[in-house]
Amino acid sequence: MHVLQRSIYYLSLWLGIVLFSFILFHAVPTDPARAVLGPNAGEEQVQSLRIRMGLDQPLPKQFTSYLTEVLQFNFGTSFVDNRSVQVEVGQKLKVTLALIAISLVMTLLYVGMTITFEAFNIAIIGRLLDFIWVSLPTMFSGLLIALLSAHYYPFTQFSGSLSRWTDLLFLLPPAFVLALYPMAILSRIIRDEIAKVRHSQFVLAARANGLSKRDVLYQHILRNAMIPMLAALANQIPMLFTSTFIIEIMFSIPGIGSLLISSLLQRDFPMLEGIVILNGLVVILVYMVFELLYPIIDPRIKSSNAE
Amino acid sequence: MSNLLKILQKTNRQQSVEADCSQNLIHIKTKYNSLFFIVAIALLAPLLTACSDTKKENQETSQFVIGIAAEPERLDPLTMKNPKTFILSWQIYEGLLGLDDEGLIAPRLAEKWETEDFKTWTFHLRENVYFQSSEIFDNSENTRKMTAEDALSTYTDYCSADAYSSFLLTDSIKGCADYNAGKADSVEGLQVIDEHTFQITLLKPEPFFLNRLTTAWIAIFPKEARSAAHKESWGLQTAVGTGPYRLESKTDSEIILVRNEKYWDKSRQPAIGKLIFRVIKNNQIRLAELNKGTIDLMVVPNTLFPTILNQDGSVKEEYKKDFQTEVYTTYNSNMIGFNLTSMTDVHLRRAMNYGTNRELIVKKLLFGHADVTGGTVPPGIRGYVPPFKEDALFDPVLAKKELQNSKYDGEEIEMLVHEVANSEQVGEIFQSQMKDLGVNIKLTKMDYNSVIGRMIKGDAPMFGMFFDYVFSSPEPILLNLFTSAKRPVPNFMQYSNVKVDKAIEDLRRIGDSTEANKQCAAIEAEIMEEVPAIFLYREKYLTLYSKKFSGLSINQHGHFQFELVKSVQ
Repeated sequence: MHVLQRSIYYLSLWLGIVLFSFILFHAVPTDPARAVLGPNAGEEQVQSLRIRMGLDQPLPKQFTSYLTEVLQFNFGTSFVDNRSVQVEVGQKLKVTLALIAISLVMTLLYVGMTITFEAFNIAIIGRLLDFIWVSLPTMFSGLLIALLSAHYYPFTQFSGSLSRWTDLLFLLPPAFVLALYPMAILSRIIRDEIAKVRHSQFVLAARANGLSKRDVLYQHILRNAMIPMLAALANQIPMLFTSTFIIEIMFSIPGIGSLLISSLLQRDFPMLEGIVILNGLVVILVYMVFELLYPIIDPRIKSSNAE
Repeated sequence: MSNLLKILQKTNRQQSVEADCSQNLIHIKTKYNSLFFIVAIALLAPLLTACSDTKKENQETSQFVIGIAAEPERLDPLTMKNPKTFILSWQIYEGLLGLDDEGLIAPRLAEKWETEDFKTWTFHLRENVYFQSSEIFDNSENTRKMTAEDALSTYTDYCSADAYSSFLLTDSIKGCADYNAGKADSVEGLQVIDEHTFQITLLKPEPFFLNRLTTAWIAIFPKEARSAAHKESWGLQTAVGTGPYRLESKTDSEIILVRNEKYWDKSRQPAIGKLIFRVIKNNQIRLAELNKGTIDLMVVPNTLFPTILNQDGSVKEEYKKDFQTEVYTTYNSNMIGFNLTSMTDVHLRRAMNYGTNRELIVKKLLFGHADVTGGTVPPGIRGYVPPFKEDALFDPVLAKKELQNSKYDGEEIEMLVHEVANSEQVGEIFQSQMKDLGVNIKLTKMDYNSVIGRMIKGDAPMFGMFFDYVFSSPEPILLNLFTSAKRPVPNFMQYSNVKVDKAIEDLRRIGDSTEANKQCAAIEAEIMEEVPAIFLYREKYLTLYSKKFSGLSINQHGHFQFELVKSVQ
């Protein structure tokens, strides 16, 4: 029942995204037909293209036919050069997801490092690093690392489609920039949670039973401290998508952010709608995965859902 | 150390090391003797390094890497709209005609042409031209000869409503406008005479018709490209023309072109085997890559001028030492337009025109890398000499006088600026100059497409605009921008003058280009009496490229003739 309720919630959320993106892009005052044909085309030619694009139809009718297509997972073709929206967004999303995945791995490794610092009572190092990471604006850290990479990093060539193994190495510096903020936030959360749980009765009981400090940390405290961190991690995912837009431009990565900006400037409505809707779908799926993870880590959540 | 020895011994037991130096293979086999192995490696190391260096060097000089600032568009000549794509598309595609280094018409796929009345033009196509090899051709050789049928199908496509460049032909070729509007199934004025003869009939005589065809937008491509089987991949994974290079692969990060071994012009057979276009969006990083040697050429954007140029516009010593420079200019024009239906006071327009210090704009913004202009027709286009004196363009005294004669009462005048071609920065300098004159300018920043939309609607009193002309003579420029019939597009200023309309129409009867240039200058002077726009400058572009190569030549259509580039070695 709970799963059904959540599925209906997420489906309605996705349909809301579809409606919102449609209204948003159709509210933009510029004429896409003119944007496609440029400033030199005659008004007659522009009007004829407008009709072919279906832009002469009333907005509700345009939305109904669009929704019908979207529900069949058909996002149409680009206004600008007739590329298939699914194919284009799919390719770009793959690159962006790879970038986000690498940055998440980096974030988790860093969080692991923070926990180790806690275990060895040297949390001050983690706090200092967190302070540095959180103080660096993405624009600054991105530009700095991009310039350093251009000078000293050997893997500066990207095939554009993750077809070479060096492409993953190319993504390391931008993924690091992307990971800086989540690293600082998540490590701070895990540190605070550990401190909070450390004073619980069961921790005292475990210590009284003769378990070492490290055993208590790894076996008891961490499991309880994990839920808030997972929730925070889930909240970071949409932020990571937003941050990639800047980072992709800085590092010349042909991901979804670059596509969004070029499509926006060209008034390529089908592409823009496809990006927002498919991006929204990915974020919703990520949330769903995290919701499934919570009861696995903490069975109390499962029983409260059942109630 | 002991670990290192263990690794060496383990490697030693694996017994073989292969060193590949071009075709010479050296095999070394050793057994159980780590000392021998270490000595062998030590002896071979310089040899291996030398081999690898030679290989790297060969590779470096047999390929030329160009850093570009944005992902190129789909390489479909019908939908290409950004002249910045030409750096790439010129390598693959060719038209019937091109431009030589002096900006005069040069034969390309058409070997010769003739006309008796400037209305019917007959083109004799070369017989030895093959398309680049591609799977779109259904034969064992993966290629075929280009014929007049290809010219017919291509030109028909350019007349269609799908073609971005149709505006070049619709008001010129007979039946092109009807085909564009969907009123005809074919273009009446296009005809195949025989396998290698193609004829175009115009609506009216046009001695300057050939100057419409020299751009990369009107390139010939095979009719198979439009077939259902290849439509999806055309311009993305496939692009086939007759140019010196053929497309090997294209992603949004990297485009690789390789030499077209069957290129028809043996005198221009490319010396460099491979061209790689790498997309590096950040200007600083592109420059860093050039310094590092991972790219061989970049066009310097204005934002890097303070880094690369001295105040007087010359290249700094450190860059001169490491790179060659090539300055080129296209047929472009940067201007501030008036909407003449709302900005009706000619004295106010003249005051603003005389009060604009173009030299200062060019110096501040472009470190002098532009020629100031008084009119829209680029100086030098087919030998054109503008009727304006550079030093008389800025006249603050006359500007004040004209302002006094105007009805201007101090109200704010809106000027639209956008993200293209320094529009915002030009607007800011112009605004301050107008403030000194006593005219209030309010800048509104919008994106380029929104500015175009408002210009066409006519609700923008003033707007910053940039033109990169694809025509190669003055007549079509004047015809498009200043005739009454072309309002509101591309006559954005809504300029209308019966006398000028007639004078431009009369250009159709002048076959001699020197005489036509004189007439165009007289027309331009007449137009500028009414100041429909303040024409500012014609931009020059600076290119930095590696000293490992020579011979780069760029013509006035922005055609980088990479086939002429050679390795210095």
